[in-house]
Amino acid sequence: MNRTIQPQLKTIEQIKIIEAEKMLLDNGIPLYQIHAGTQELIKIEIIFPAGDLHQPIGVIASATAHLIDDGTSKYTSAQIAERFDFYGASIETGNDYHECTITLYVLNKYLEPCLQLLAEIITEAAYPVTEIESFVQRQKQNLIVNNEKVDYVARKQFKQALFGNHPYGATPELADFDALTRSDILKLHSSNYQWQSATIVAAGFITPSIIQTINKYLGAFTSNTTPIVQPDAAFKTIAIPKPQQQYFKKENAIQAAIRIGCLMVNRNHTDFKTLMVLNTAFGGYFGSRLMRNIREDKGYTYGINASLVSNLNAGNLVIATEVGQEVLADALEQIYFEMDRITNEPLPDMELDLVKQYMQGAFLRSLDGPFALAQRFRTLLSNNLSYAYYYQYLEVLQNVTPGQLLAMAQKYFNKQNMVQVVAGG
Amino acid sequence: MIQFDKEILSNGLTVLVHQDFSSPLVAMNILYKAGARDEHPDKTGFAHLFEHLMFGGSINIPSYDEPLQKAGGDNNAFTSNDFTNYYLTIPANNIETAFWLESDRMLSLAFNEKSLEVQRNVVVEEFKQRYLNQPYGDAWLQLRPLAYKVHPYQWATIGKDISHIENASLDDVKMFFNKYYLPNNAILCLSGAITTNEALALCKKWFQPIAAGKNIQRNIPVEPQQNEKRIKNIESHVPVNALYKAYHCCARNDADFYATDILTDVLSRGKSSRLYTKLVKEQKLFSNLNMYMLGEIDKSMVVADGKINPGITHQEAEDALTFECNTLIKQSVEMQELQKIKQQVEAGIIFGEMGIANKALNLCYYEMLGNAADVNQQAQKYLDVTTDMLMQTAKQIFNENNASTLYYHAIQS
Repeated sequence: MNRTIQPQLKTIEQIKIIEAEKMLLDNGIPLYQIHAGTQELIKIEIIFPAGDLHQPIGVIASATAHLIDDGTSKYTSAQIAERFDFYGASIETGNDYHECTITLYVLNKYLEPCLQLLAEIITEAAYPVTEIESFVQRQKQNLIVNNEKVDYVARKQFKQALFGNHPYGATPELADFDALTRSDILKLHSSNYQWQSATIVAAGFITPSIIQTINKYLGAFTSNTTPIVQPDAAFKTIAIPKPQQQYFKKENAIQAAIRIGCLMVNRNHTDFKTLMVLNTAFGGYFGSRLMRNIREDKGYTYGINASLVSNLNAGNLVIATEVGQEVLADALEQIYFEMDRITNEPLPDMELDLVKQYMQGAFLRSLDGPFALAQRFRTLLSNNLSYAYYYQYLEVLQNVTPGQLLAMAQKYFNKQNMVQVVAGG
Repeated sequence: MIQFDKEILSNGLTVLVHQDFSSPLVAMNILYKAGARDEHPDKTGFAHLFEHLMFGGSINIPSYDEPLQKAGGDNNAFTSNDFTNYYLTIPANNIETAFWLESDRMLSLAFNEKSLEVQRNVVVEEFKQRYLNQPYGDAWLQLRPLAYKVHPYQWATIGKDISHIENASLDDVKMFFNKYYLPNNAILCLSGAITTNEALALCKKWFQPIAAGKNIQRNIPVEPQQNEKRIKNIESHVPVNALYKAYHCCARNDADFYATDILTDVLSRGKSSRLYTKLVKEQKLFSNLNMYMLGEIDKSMVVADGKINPGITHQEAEDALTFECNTLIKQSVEMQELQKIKQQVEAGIIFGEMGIANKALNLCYYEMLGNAADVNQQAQKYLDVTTDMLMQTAKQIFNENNASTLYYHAIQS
């Protein structure tokens, strides 16, 4: 046995994705179901068009989502929590720019009582004043803590610099919480949490009786007549920011947090899949150029990564790291050095092969289990894409050439366009 | 329920196999019984530094990550006070690459100065990022030495002091490897799209030739019973006042582990738990408050940590916390509440067994504790806990002379 030689590699076999199946509940709401996994458990996501873009100002959308399970006319917040906890179920609520999602995790055997309660909560949410006050106090405390972290400050200022006054550039301020009112919340709830605009995704051990239960509790609602609030049409366009460099001083910081990036095409653009390969090579995995240079060769950081963020109306590149204050200048220089290198020299074949193999493996991992499959599906749903997107992506992973990547780098990774934000000592 | 097969190779390596063909992947998990508790008091942070060095190339293979990525695999590792765990997932048809890589680093590392130099720096940056440059990041560096006077749980995995990492030499590192990174001190689990026969054949090919080492004799000092209330005040540039309170509790394999875990669940699991509903929501003393058991192998800790609301003193906040703990000594937990916790635990166990990597880690962990089959007995052990057991356990734990408390005082900069 020769331990210096890697065992023969096999290419990843044809990847078959377990797809979501669509059906309509009795009231016409679409239900997408993904049957996978071996354990009798289920995750149900209920999605409404009620993200930050649907709110007039501040933190209304996030408060409306977070507080939805904190009381109805019949039950207090504590009674609701008690009920879900009793069945070992859990509820997650949250929102992004475009949607809010209410998620139930539950063992199949307790689905019925939990779903019945959840449906009632969503419809009858009362948003008690005491709960709003307590939410505001907790969120403000968290924000005060976060504002002390260079990482948070850099992230916040970077978004602001990149997106300006567009909601994509906003992060909550203390004043937003002070300005929050119950009537704002009730208004958004009544206009945008209507069953006619809901979408449901169920993943796990799905049986006909599970479907029946979902239809029984979510398929009977009709909607009110309040018109749904649509985002301002002006949010469709995003102004291109001026290239800039900003420094935010944080007393006593011993590390500096760096964010560098620019606007970029999003998932709906044909270049996006190829850009994913380029970005992975550049800073998207442990063996990336940024990691090898700045962590593994120089030891400047615990970690560095580059990501492509895709939202419905815009995408962006962001390079993120925290480095020792004393090596900040060289760390920045090395980041730009790597950006130059990837725009000037084609990726060597060996390196590209490795990236392609790694990304195919990563894609396979991202399909492992019902919850992962649901997440893959959500990405399609939010972007109005079909499963063809993933099969095309796999084709790109097999066929993309160094020349195509170089062209991408020259088109999109332009040092002159970068917005750079540093928060540190 | 996790089905598995078990075999011990001739060199002492314990092998566990769980077949799950619903996944196209295989997870390989290797647990080395070497953690921060095995470190010398003057050379702390070693087990964790070593975890980093495991990625710096092995005796026959200059790079670990590249060949793995080429095979479509991905990996990571973590270090605890009790053990160090390495795991990877890889498409099933390339599983032999995982055997090749992991067996070579069990055989021997490359040990070079450059890799040590870089990883020392990376760990120092990790120390800064996680422990020094975050508000309250130093809590564990303060709390552990307050609660433990002789047992090595007095330091965190990152180490007592940054200088221990900065001064680590290649010889120190080699000694650590030769003592602990042995087949007879490791547990290997394969989980996913692989048969037991195939898994064992590959184990015999790649791992069995590695020579066994000397069995490890641990002489870890036993922490004497604490008999006085310990407090420490910290003035710091943190945004809000906070408290961290630690009580000594049982070891992982002690009979009252399950009762202890349920006690912390009664207090702090979910939004209907006592601390959240009473102290956060009703009395508004804390903006957040959590209580949990660390569950380490040796006698461990139950810890509460909370951020105190403006206008509330440390004393008021702590008194309310103590009151809730003491209630568990005086009043029996209602059957309905206990049933709730047991159903939460059941769901937690079933959700926790999703995915091949979790199952592989669980099997290795229970094998380290004594027997992998115990992974399937957990639910029953929680079900067996009675309200009397809860009161007895609460009485042993919630005693001010058994507690160590940190008070963070925010200074305005």
